[in-house]
Amino acid sequence: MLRLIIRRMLVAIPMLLVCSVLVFVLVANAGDPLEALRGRPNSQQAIAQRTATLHLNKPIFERYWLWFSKMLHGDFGIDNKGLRIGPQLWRAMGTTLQIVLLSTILAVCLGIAVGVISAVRQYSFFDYSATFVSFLFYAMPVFWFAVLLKVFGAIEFNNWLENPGIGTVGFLLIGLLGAGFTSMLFGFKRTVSKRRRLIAGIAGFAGTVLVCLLVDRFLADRTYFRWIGTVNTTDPRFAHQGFWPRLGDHLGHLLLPVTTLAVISYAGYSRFTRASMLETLSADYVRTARAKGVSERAVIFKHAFRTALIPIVTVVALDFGAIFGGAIITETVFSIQGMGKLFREALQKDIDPNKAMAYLIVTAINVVVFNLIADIIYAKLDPRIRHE
Amino acid sequence: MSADSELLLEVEHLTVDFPTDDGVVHATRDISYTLSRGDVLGVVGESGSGKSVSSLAVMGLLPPTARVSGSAKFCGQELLGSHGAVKSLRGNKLAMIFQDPMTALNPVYTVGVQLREALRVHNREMPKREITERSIDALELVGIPNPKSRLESFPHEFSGGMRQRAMIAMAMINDPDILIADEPTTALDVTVQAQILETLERVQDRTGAAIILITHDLGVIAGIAQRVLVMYGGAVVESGSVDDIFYRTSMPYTAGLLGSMPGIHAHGSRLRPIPGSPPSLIRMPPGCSFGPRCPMVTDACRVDAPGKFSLLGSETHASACIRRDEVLAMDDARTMFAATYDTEVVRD
Repeated sequence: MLRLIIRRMLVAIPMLLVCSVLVFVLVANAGDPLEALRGRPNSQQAIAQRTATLHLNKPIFERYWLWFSKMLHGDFGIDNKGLRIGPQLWRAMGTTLQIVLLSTILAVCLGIAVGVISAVRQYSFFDYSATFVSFLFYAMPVFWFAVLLKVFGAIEFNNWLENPGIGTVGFLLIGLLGAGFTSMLFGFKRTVSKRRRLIAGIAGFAGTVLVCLLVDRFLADRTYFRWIGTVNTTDPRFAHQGFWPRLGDHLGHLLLPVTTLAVISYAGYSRFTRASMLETLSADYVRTARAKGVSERAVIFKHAFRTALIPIVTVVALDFGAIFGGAIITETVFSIQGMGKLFREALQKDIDPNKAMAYLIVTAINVVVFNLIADIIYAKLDPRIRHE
Repeated sequence: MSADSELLLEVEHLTVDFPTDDGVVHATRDISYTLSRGDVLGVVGESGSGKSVSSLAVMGLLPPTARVSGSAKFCGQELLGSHGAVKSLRGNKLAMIFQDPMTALNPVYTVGVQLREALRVHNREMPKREITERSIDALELVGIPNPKSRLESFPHEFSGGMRQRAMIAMAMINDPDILIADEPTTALDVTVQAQILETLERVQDRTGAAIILITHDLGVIAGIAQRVLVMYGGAVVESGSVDDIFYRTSMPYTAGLLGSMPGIHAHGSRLRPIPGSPPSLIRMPPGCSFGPRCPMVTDACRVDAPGKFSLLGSETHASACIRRDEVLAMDDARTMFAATYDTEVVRD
């Protein structure tokens, strides 16, 4: 196992070296960092200064080496405005990491749970509903979904919070959801008859409406703070308040971007889990386990799920590395000061080579590192790889 | 062989249907047999004849879409329908091994984990040390060298034959009364096949379990079984002792099977395969299901009459053929297929 890890790490090093060369050469050819300066009056001095900081008068090999050797020490240089890139990068990474981590955890938990149930109850009502929802989310463009969330999840919801009440249509809709949920929960076993499922559904409807009535009474005549944030990750009004209000504010701001990313990943993970589980559930060793007299629950979790997990974990690890640099659209819609923002800034008007390279190399390192992690987890989960 | 010993399994009128989009697949029809302690019952037939389905039904391992009727009693206890009975007996009193040992073991657990699991699910209170000891004994019984260290091996570190031995060990670890072996040697080399059969015989000697051996290989049956069921198109078409089946054949299908088997004595002569292919289990031919391929078919065979093609004869040797006496009287029933060898193949 240790040998495998070391071997994979040794493979990662030349990969990263090639990445750094590619990043440098591509950014160097991506645009003229002096272009915006040329048009200005008295630009001579500014051009000379930027040429000096970016070493533009030196040959490309030397420039690469200057950049690379500094980067090895964690120094990403300064951007076009003369600010150090390092602190900006770390801050952006922290923000993006929060969103990506939360959304991945959410998507993995939900996606795996729904995928497993869908596979175990293949072609059931639950399976069809889950499939429908997954494809809906999968097909939805991120920018559009994010905007919808902003309008209905935040602005309308915040308006509603100012004078909350459920209303007749709300009662009916929530009641129907409750009915569906209880009948599904109750009728989870195949053996339960249709009539009993129906009774469970009606009871669920009644129960949910009752709870709604109570909530409605509780909500009436109160006004709540506009809690869900749509822009950035914090509200400056909370800057000088205590820990808990600040945390609440922060979570209110994270809610929508995290939901956006989670919903899209969820769609993929639930389908992937379902397919993987269906494959292992029909495997011969699952039949062997049943023939041994192992309980159905243990058959599903110990035998089918454990093996189905191998490809799922790999995909999640790879996704995590990729999504880290790729949440640009979501970050833009919600104006989040993350990695995506950093990259966009680097490319606007005149190119900011150091910033763009910093983003690209960090993203590349991420992908390589999570590839490595995926490899290690894969080997950990699958003895056939481990003993290779 | 052991007609008066304890009756273990009594299967009566076992019928399994699978509803599909194309129609109902009649996987097995009206199968009845009994199994006593110490018996080795061979079940032969070609692919799709219902051999496996009938035993999976007894084990309660069919998919939930299957419709099972009839009865299967283990020591008087009904196995079908009532989920409780078969669930507690499965792996404990009734054990099963499968065709492909390459895929029948879970690749992510060691052989030891899987062996111990088989023991633990039926003996919750058994101390760990005893479980390990019994696992080692089980591997030893099936002839795996260094059983103690082999417990820590993963299935992919075993050869095919070793995996099938491990499967047998897993099946036998709870001392079952009945072991159903579903084509246990089909996926293995011929030399390994012999070893596995030997292992099965040894295991049976030691434990006295009854074995149901499902195979399409008559050679395997001849070596190990005492009684034989010949299945065709989802039904039993002939049953009897090994000698009855091999030397007093009374069903043209059995004769055809024997004729398609290569043997040392028939050296130099051509094999005589049965022309045509097995019937569709959705649309069975009227009358005898073997009728369309049978060289002895008469108009009477094509008339569908309930009960006519059920097994007739003595309890020890029965046949579904209405011309069984003529077949029985032949010197070598196998030769009946020689004439049809070059003629047009009848297909359903």
